[in-house]
Amino acid sequence: MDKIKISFILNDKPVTVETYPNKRVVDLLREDCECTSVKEGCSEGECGACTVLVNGTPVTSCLMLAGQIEGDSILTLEGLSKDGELDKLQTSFVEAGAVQCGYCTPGMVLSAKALLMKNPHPTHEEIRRALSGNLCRCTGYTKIFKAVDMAAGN
Amino acid sequence: MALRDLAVLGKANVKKDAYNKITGEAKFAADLKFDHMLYGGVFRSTVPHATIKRFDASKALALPGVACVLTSKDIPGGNRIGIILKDEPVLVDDKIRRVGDAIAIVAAETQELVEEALELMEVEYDLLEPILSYEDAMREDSAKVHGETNLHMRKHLESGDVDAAFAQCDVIVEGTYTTNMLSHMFIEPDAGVARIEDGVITVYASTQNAHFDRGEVARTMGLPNNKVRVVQVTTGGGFGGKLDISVQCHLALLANATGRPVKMVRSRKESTDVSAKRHPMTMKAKTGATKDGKIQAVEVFMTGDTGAYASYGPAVIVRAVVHCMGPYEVPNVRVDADFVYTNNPMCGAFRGFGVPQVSVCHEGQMNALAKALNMDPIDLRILNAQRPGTVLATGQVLDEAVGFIETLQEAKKKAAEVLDTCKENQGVGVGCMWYGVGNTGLPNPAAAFVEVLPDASVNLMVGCADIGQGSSTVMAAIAAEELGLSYDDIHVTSADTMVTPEGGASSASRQTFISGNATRIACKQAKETLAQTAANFLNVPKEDLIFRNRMVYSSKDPAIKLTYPELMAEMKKWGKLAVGAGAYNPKTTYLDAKTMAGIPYEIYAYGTTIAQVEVDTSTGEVDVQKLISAHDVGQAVDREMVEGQIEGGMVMAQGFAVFEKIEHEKGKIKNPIFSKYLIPTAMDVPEIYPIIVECPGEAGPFGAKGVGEPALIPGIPAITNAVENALGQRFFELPLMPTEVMKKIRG
Amino acid sequence: MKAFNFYSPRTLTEALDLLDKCKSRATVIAGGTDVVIELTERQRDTDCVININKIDELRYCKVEDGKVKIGALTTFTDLENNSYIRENVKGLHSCAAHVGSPQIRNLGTIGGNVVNCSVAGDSPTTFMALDATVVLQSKTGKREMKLTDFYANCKKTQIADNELMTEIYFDAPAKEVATATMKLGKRKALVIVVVGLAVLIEKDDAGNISRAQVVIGGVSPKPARLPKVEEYLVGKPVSKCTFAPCADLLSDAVREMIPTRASMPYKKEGVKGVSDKTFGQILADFGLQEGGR
Ligand SMILES: Cc1cc2nc3c(=O)[nH]c(=O)nc-3n(C[C@H](O)[C@H](O)[C@H](O)COP(=O)(O)OP(=O)(O)OC[C@H]3O[C@@H](n4cnc5c(N)ncnc54)[C@H](O)[C@@H]3O)c2cc1C
Ligand code: FES
Ligand code: FES
Repeated sequence: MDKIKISFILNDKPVTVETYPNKRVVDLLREDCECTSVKEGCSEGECGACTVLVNGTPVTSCLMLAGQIEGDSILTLEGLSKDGELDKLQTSFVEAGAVQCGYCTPGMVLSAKALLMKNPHPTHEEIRRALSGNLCRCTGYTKIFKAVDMAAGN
Repeated sequence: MALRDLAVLGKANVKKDAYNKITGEAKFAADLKFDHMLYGGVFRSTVPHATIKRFDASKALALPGVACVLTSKDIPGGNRIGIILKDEPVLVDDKIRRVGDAIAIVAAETQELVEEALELMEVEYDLLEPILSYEDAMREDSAKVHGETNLHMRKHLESGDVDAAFAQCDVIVEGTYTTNMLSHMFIEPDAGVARIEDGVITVYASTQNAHFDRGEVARTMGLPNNKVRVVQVTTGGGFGGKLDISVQCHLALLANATGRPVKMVRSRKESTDVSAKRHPMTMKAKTGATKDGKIQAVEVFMTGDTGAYASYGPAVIVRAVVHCMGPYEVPNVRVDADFVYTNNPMCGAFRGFGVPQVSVCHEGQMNALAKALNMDPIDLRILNAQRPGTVLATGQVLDEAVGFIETLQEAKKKAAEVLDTCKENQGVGVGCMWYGVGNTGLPNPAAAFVEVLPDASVNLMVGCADIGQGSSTVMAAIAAEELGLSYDDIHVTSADTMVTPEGGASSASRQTFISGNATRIACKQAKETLAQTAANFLNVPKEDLIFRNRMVYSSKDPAIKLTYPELMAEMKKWGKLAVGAGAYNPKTTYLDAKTMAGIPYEIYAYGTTIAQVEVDTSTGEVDVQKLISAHDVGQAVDREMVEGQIEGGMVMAQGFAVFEKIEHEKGKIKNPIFSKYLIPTAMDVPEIYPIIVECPGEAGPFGAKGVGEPALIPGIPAITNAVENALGQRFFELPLMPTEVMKKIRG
Repeated sequence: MKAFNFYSPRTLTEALDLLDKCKSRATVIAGGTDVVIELTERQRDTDCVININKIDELRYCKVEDGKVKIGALTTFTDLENNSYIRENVKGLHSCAAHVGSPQIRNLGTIGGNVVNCSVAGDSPTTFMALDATVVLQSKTGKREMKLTDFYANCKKTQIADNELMTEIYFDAPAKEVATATMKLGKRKALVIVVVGLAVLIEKDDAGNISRAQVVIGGVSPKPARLPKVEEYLVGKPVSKCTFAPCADLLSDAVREMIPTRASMPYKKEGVKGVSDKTFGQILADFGLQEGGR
């Protein structure tokens, strides 16, 4: 197996990683890039804990091979706060009480971020739909919806 | 109106763990990394009942990068673990009792190598007759899973004269209810890391009970308790599924054998396959009442399958028996319960310990009774509701801390406001529950250490594991209230066995009550020194002092006061330290072996849910539209967190009622993954209206009870009853999947 | 994951060259939503993985020469957001919008869905109702075949080891054409199909049905056209009354297709609800009556 070199933008910074190709993006980010906010809950695309944004679009990083993000721009939760200042969504998640165990949280916040980037004032139905690929077993989703509403200024 | 005048409790504080989690900095077990770390894996049985004829790991060992393979022979200490009974091997020795039993463990340089090594291990079995059902288990000539009998536990509770009472009843309703095996499906699969440092084995684990883990690891390793350190790392949900030992003992063995840190992260499938499940139960119930609706007698016979190992099974059975008549005054009660061992997946603790199951039974009975009597379901419940002074079937007399009727009234009020059922296939249902806080009729203490530091900030050390439910936040609020400081002054260290005292399990909704009381007692002790010093300084009797909002002042004259920093300066001057250690054990008694009479719990929480559903009669789909859930929590420590528990519980109830079921065949789980075991998504959840009810009583810290499990329970029967009422059909088995609903509709 | 070499061609030609070299030992990956799971679970032995996801020339959805042409790399999200599809091919829009979750729709491609041909695949049912044609290309040439033929007489599909699917196309629906799909599942998102139905109805000037294409999915390993239902419909007026008996016809079809399967009793009942709703949408699309969901 030949190593491959992968160059991409990670949280606004260009990075190049040399690694084995039989890794998924979730492994690449967690093991080679120290982005442990990217969680793994199912390894089959169902739970959404591994969600990251690729060029602004939420995807499950357990379903992508590392080499597939060559040239792409990746956002993980680590890159959401700028210079120590939390993103509006982050503060609203905290204020709304939308975080319990926190395992779904990184993926949930990123799915919500992708939604708000495209649609700054989503309806309740749009919020539900945007978060439908992120399972949460703790919160019953209700406070998460509220947090997104708050961040959208709805 | 608030019942109590409190400075900190009853508001919403930012959860102690929120910032770490929202920035992604929180480290869960799988996120830990140490130098020279190895990865571990488990070779598991694929058959339910067998002895091992041959096990060969030579090919795996020959693989470069494999550090070791261990079997039962390599265990330095004892090879039996278990929460209540020590009946589960760390690594199989005598025989295999379930699919997924651990036969060998391996450590290797990479996860990839671990998987390769596991593929290279070979095993041959001598198969034994598998016991796969209650009936199988109870056959006299069937193979035995453990020892001489498959009867794991038999319980009998009796009060009054049941037969005589039934003879006098005007109305009797009967039903046999079945609930299925369920999986917790916490989103974080079990994981941990172990390493050895200065002769101490440290295990970092995703767990609900670090102190229990410590004991199990120590026994497995043949070490004294103080040579094992278990640290609960940020834990991605538990719901009872992380009370059993998962990776802890295996990791300690591998770290010990290799001298290197070892990490294990279970796959979703492995996690679901071997973690404890919710007991499937069958409950045959008979309820008798007078024609004006007063319940006279309840009789229940229940059976359950605890699977291959006891886990928390005994606690589930006892609790189910005590709770199965529901939150009602029932003068005559007879309950019998038989639970068996089988070669099915292990069943244990799952949010509610059997009470969710029996709630399906007692509320199904109440729905049927309301119909038989043509009575309003809420009125029927209020008529029979437990209240201060009620005598329970165990003989216990309830004190003033009973807010059940208020939950019924509040829920009803909300229902009038928000429910809208105009369509034919819509229905409304009521579900209620009661829940004894803490372990059943057993000692279950917890402790806390506190130190108020020179700048009036506080270190609080509690054993109780915060698994996201927010116990650290609760303890901080209680400490702040008692000490008269602010919530932000308190730093909480939790569940690290080298630092914090015993906390017991984060289960049975016990931590707010028990660790909360322990925290309060510890704070009172520290306050004793503080008060003495303040009294001397202010020249007032110490009994007159009030600690509140970072001030200490005289209740007689608030102008006589000093600030906390001033007080701490004074403490320093006199060489005083403000430290406290508190422990609390709930006031319960052991239950009588024959009748189960006694005091099983010190306090009870109550709840009522009203559900609105719509059934699509062309496809059988049940749409849960609205859930109103009112909970008597004694005193809300943090309103937002209580609401969060209720909302999360309600959605789990929806899963229980309409989606979830572990399918297993020949002891093997067929749907251990999220694509096959369906839990509610963001698209499925109903509108939820949480209602917090508070009640008198000071047994809990400032009157607080617990809500973790109560939040789940009443939603399940409420949904079931709503579907029954929508379709005019009775349902006796959950979940109400479209297939089952359709059968009722189309025959 | 087992070891393999990884290639990420930028052009179709490059990809076809690579494929020709590796042949059966190659694994093509597009969105990866099916294939990465197989790799993670070590179910697939492969020497080389060819990532076609960077071949931008295969990502399009356009109307050309009266045909709707969809490049193999088009994702479900692309289709869902495509205004032409949303307005004119409602069945395909609804199909794409109901796949998995946002993340899956962002990754999953039409090519992957059609070639993977799983029982749970949603778009093949819809494309079959649209009577679509797949375009296959190899180093040596290009061939086209109807989707029905692509799936006929084989375990999975007719694609050869050295071929890529590059496009799927179908006749751009005229004004007189309405399409609808529906999938019955067990919850509202991340739904695996229990019964899927896709319908295309064309009416003549008199308002009678001149063409009916009815396909059922989730019942047999591959989607199936239902000639009996289609024959029943042709010539009849487009109306609720005409469509009502389809529920029973579909129910009979399910019973015939899986007479002994444990899921049959439910599917044969559930399909009736699906039928009513799908044909309700057809009526709505013709502007005749409010549809179901
Ligand atoms: C959580 C989850 C939910 C899902 N829900 C749904 C659903 O609701 N409905 C549904 O239909 N599917 C669903 N799927 C399945 C999957 O997402 C789809 O089948 C998807 O369209 C596959 O496309 P892909 O690009 O990801 O395929 P890949 O995984 O990249 O490839 C799939 C197969 O097709 C081959 N292949 C891909 N593209 C080409 C090509 N152009 N030429 C030749 N061969 C090719 C690959 O070699 C591979 O064998 C779901 C999957 C997941 C993980
Ligand atoms: S780990 Fe990727 S979706 Fe669950
Ligand atoms: S907060 Fe625990 S899974 Fe969402």
